[in-house]
Amino acid sequence: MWTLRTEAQNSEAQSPVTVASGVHRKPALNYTARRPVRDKTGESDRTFKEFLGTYNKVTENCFMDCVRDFTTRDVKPEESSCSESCLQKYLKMTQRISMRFQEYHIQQNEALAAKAGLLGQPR
Amino acid sequence: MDPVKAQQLAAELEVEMMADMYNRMTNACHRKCVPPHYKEAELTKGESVCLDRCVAKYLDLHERLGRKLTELSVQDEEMMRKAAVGSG
Repeated sequence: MWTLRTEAQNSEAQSPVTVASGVHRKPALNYTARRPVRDKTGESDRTFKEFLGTYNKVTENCFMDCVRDFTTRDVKPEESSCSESCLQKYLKMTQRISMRFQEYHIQQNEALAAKAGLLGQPR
Repeated sequence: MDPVKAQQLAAELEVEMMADMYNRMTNACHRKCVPPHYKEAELTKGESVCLDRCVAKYLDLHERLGRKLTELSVQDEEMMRKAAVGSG
């Protein structure tokens, strides 16, 4: 079960029992600060949901690829720098893919428009 | 079903399908093009070029398979119709 612990309690040595039962940590993302205002289309909610999805995906992905040492609870410096590089690379990758995807669809639409234009021309 | 509603539903399904396709494509190209080494934060030239080609190929394949699938399901439907007429 998740339990709320104060900073003082967190800094004390943790018994195996408490550790096993889970310690409530302050989340890395401040969800309330980032939460968009509800709008009519719900688009900002969808965008936010997508963002959260990406957050989860990149965490899982970088964890799987970078974290290999389970002889300790602490994240090793090489694991930390690997994850940071992983995150930045992932974001750059998604940006590039998004760009190419948009370019492709613009091309497709132009081709369709050209076709429609040709067909529409009077003989 | 009301044709306007049917069109609306079709449009919604297409948007959902596109979003799903985009996610799968991102995943696939990531696995194909970015080796899990992460020595640096920048995409290398090779990785960038691979990603461009991967996106192009994925979308091309998506289109081809869509057309083939439509073809096969039309054929399927035709066969079923003939079978139904034959047995009737």
